[in-house]
Formats: sequence, C-alpha cells, structure tokens
Amino acid sequence: MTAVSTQRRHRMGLLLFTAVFTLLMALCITQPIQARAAEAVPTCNPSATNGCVNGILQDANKTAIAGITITLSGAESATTTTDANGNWAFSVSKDGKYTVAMDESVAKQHGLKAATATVEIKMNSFDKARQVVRFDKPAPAESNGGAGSGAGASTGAANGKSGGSTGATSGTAETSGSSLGANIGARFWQQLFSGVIFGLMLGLMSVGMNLVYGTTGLSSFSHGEQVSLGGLMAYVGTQILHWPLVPAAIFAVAVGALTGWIQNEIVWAPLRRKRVGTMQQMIVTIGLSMALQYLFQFFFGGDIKGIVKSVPASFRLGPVTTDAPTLISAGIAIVVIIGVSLFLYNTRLGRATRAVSDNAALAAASGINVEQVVRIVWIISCAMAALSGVLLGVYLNGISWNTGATLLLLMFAAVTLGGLGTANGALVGSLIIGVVADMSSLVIPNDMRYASALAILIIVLLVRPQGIFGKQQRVG
Amino acid sequence: MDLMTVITNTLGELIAPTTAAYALAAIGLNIHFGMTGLMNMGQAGFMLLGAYGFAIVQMMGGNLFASLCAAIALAVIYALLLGIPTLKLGPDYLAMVTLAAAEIIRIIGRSTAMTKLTGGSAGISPQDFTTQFESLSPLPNESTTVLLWTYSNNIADSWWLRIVAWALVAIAALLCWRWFHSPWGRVLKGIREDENAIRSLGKNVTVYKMQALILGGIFGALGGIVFVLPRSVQPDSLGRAVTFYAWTILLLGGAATIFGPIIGSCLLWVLLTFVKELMRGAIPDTVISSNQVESLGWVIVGVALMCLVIFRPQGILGDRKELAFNA
Repeated sequence: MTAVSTQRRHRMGLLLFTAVFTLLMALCITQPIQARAAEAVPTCNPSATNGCVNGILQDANKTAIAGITITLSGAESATTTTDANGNWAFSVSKDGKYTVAMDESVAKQHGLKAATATVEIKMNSFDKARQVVRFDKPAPAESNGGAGSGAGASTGAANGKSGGSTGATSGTAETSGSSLGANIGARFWQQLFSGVIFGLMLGLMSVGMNLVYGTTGLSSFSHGEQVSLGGLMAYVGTQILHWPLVPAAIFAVAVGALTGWIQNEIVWAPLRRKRVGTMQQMIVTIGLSMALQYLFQFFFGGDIKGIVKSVPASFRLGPVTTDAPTLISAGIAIVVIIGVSLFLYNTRLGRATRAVSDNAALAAASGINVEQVVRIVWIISCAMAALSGVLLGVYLNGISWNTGATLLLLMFAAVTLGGLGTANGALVGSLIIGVVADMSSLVIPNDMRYASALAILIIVLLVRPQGIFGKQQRVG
Repeated sequence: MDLMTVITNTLGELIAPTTAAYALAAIGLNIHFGMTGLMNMGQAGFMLLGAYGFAIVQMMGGNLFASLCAAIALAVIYALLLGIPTLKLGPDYLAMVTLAAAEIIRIIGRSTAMTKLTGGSAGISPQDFTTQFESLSPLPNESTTVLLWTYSNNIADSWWLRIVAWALVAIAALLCWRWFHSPWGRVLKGIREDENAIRSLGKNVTVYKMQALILGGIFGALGGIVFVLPRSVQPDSLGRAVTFYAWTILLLGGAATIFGPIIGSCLLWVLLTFVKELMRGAIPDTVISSNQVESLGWVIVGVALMCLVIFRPQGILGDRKELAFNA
C-alpha cells in the first residue's frame, strides 16, 4: 500500500514538474520575439532568430590587429572593437545586406586590400546565417567573401526564394517561423552534425570524470577547470611560445596529466587516507574549482583566447558544411575514446580499474593495488579533459577562463544519463546531451539550449536515476 | 595608500546590505544543510527567483506586500518542484538537481526571448523596482554619517535598506533559534544524522525534509531581494558562484549554529574586502590590475573553502561532535 502510494506521489511529482517545465518552455517560445537591433558580441552563434557577421582582423602576415573600431551598417547598425586576437562579431536580427567598414588608414597601414565589405545575411539559410568577413580581397561592389558561402550556392539560392519573400520584409518572429517550416531539413542535419561533434568532445571529458567517480565515488566539480586548463595551455603553446599546434596540444595534455597526478598526491589521496567522506571531498572540489577558475582569469584575463588564428576553409560534406579541423578533432576524440575502452576491457590494469569501480574493498582483497589504480585514473582523466579542452578550443575558435565551468553541468548531465560510474555510459550520455543541446536550438532560442540539456538531467533523475547503463540497486 | 579609506571601506562591509543578503541566504542554507543535512547546491536559484518575483511584480505596479508574497510563493513552488522528486533519492542527487535547476533559471532569465519579462542578460534596472521600497522609508531625504560611514538615507545603497536588511536577518536568526530548539527542529536534526532511525519512529521523513527545503528557500528568496535592492536584478550576478559563497559563509561560521551564518558572512566580506583593498593600495596597478585583484579575491575564497572542509569543518562556532559531516 505504502509502496503504491509512494510511487503514485512520485509520478505526481514528475507530472507536476514536467507540466510546469513545459509551460515555462512554452511561455518562452510564445513570447513574441522582439526584433532587436544588431549588437556587438564576443562570439556569435547563428540561430533561428539571429544571424552573425564576424571575422578575425589580421594583417597580411596573419598577425592579429587589436583595438580597431569596426562599424556595421545596412539593415541594422552597430559598432565594435577588435579584441586582442583580432576577433570581432556582430549578432544581427534582420535579413538583408550589411556593410562592414573600418578606417581606410588602418587598412592601408596593415596592407589590407579593402576597408569595407558587404555581406548578405539570411537567417533561414544555413550557409548565409553566418558571414565571415575578410578584408584581404579587393572589394568589388558586393562581395560575400564568406568562408563557406560559395560552396552551397544551389541550396542557398533555393532557400533564398522561399525565405526572401517572407524574411526580408517581415519581422523577425515571422522569419523564425518560416525558417522552421521551409528550412528545417538543412538546419536539422547541420545541427545534428554539430551536436555529434560536441557530444564527442563532451564524451572525452565525461568518460574521465566518470572513471574518477567509479573508482573513488567523487563527483569532481573541478573537472571543468581541467578542460579550461588544457585549452589555455594549448593557447600558451601556440600563441605565447609560438609552437605549432601539435606540440602545443601534446604539451597541454602533458600538463593536464601532471595536474591530475599532483592533485591526487597532495589532495585526494591524503583525504581518502583520512577517510573524509565523498560529500566533504565534493565541497573541496568546489573550492578547488573556484580557485582554479579565477586563477585562470588572473593570468589569462576575461576574454576568449584563440588557439589557432586562421579561419579554416570550409567545405560541404553531404548535407552539412564543415571544415578540416572539426573533422580531425572529432577523429582524435573517437580514437582516444576507443583507446580508453580497449584499455578498460583488454588490459590487466584496465580490468583492475573496472574491478575497483565495482567493489573497491573486494578488489583490494584480491591483491589489486587500489591506490595505484586511482592514481592512474586521475592521470588519465585529467589528460583526457585537457585533450578535450584543446579540441574544443580548436573547434569553437577559442577558449576562455570559464569555458570548462559552463560545460561542467553538461558533463554531470551526460554522466548521470549514461549511469554514474559506467565508462561507456558516459559516452552515450554525452552524445545524447550534445545532440539534444544543439538540436534544441531548432525549437527554443539559441541561448537557452544548455537549459534543455540540464532539463534532461533532471528528467533522467526522476524517471531512471541510475541512468541508461547503471545498476538498479545503486540508488538509495 | 590611504589606510583610513581601507579601514572605512572594510568596516563598511560589516553592515553592508550585501553582507546581510548573504547572511540570509546562508541562514536558509543552514536550515537545509545544518539542520536537515540537505545538500542544496542551488541556493542562488532561490535568490534569483525571489529577486525576479519581487522586481517583476513591482514593475507591473503591484504593491510591496504583493511583491514580497510573489517572491515567497515562487520560492515555495520551486522548492516543491525540486523536492517532490529528489528528496527520496540520495544526497548527491539533490545536489546535482538543485545546481542544474538554478542554472536553468539563470539561463532562461538571461535569454533574449525573455527580454520583455526579465530584461534578458541586462536585467531589470533599479528605478523599475526600488521606488516603492525607498518611498516607504520614514527617514528624511538626505545623507547621514554614523561613526565612519556616510550613506544616503533612502536612495539605493542606503541606511534604510541597511536597517530593513539587518532587521530581516535578526528575525530570521530569532526564528531559527526557536525552530532549532523545537520538537520539529529535533526531528530535523535526527534526519540529518540518521534518516532511517527517524523513519522507524514513524515520522514522515520526506515531509519534514520538504518543510525544511521550503523554509530555507524562503530565506534564500528574501536574501535575493535584499541582494538586488542596492543594485539591479542581473541573472549573471546570481549564478553558481553565489551559492558557493553562501556555502563558504556557512562552513566558515559553523553549520547548525544560530549565529554561524551571520558571523561567517560578516567575517568573509570584511576579510575579503580588506585583502582586496590592501592589494589595490599596496601593489601598483601595472603589476596587478584592479580586475586581477578581483580574481585573486575569488581564489582566496576557493582556497578558504577547501581548507575549511579539510581542516576545520565545524567552522568558528560549530561543535565538531554535533554533525556527522564534521567527523
């Protein structure tokens, strides 16, 4: 009787929760989306309601030009200044032609061939939602020197017809509506693709995090900072020490592995020896996360650091537009994840790791050196986090002091979804979270897409708290 | 470096509204964690909801009482939504869900789609929601100097706000003192130490936990209102970091004590401001910029939190033997 009523109450709670959540979401969608003016942003991601005009201002030798005022005019207007890496971006909310301009004297001084460029933004056309502006070509009357816009001419034109009639004249709300209808197919594949890429990178992070959880029972809040550390170390390698990308990446991973080893030796191993509970250890990781995060801000400042400066040439692959660094990053992520699975299932040490995850006391009794295993898990986990930071930095064109912190909750969501403590579960969870986070921007505003991933975390905890691959009895 | 300004600024933090706001949030957290053992990692979510509830009702022209009720109602609904499904699960689940939910509120609040209601990431500016509160003040419209401190009587970061904020803190402390020593409080403490023992006594543990979650959440919402009154409602200023500050304050002062959160809040802000002011004064701007001093302040808080948990989990006032957490 009690069991039944408890279960019913549980259901009721779930229902209530989802109902209110859906209501909230619905509220957000039905809010008439105002046509907002163009604004200067640090980075810009196109969505159903905004397009992007951005670029990296570099001189003929590919050195960044910082502190240059860039003005946007046309359908909307705004002004921005290039940052330390020459990056600048505008988020615009109307379709139409935009002219980007800077002072003629600046262009001459840095050997640029043009001081103005005109691009056309169509938010519902996936290859015209973002226009990358370059000033290294002489400007004809109209040039859309966008890196990826030439390739998809046929699709662009076809979409241009359907979108052009409604989009250019009417308000933004309507445009987003029509884009949902007319162009859902193209956007669907593009978002699916970027979701999978993002999921793979998230997988690199969360597999490591889950290994630590499995062997020590600790949900590490400072894992996000390990990701930022990797990206920032790669930035140090390429931009401060002027190394090529590959040695810089190796350097970053080595630093990551080293921090994993050091923090296990001086913090976590002593705490485990003192038999400090995992809840207390979790609060220690929160403190560590805060300290590290602001230490990064102290040394690297608050802006986004680009690991590679050049804009890669993009090409079309089936229904999606992509570029070489993205595909290579995804490839590396897949290889590393497969490597870790092989390690876990086919080597002595890997089997020992799984034994410790399963039952640490029993593993110790059967002669496995648990401390040794945990040490290796910390090193692997932090090295993987650093690697994912590098790949993410290359994929997203930059990393900042709090990149990892914003991803931390997505890692938690991925790990919980897959099942706490199960290595492969984390990968599956990450892919689902990555795809959902990116695909949800098809239906909800772009800046809310992480909220949808977190909502999954909550719903999973309600419906199946042990996750997809978790064991039933774990949950109290 | 002007030592007098450093001391004035530092001691000003002792009575600042923000200190009171954090004290209120930590008192709420104390009901959650210190009394009941709930790991609420999303106190900032309660604060942000309270702030939004208050400010939005004010913007729509409601009176102060209605705004206050709206804030409290939002906190109660939020606590119910979080609590009903998660209180039966293990403590780390509540931690994750509260953290994620607080983040969801912040992300939705700062979304451009919500600009009409919440002002998006720019937030709600003070003239939209503080006028009623300021006009309620009985003080004359001028500024007053008491000992070291000179503040405006009514406008923004005012004496009137300080009086109200600390009165709220006093009421909260008094209520907590009553609750801690009531039969109800003893049940909560029992749940904190051994949930199953209390369940075997025939108490409905989930209901007690829920009551604690709601009460602590209400104090969080009140803290949120006090937090935004001298500035504006900005979702990003009530992010994860605020929750972690509140935890540091609670563990510094001592969990499961009446005055722990208040002393923790005063001490943390006074010390932090002192260190920051000293660094700003003593180190030339070319070596460490003002922004970097700000980050160093955060680093200090992070390290302090780590050291507290490792070396002195009972904080300043706490009793090491009282909480199983401290063992």
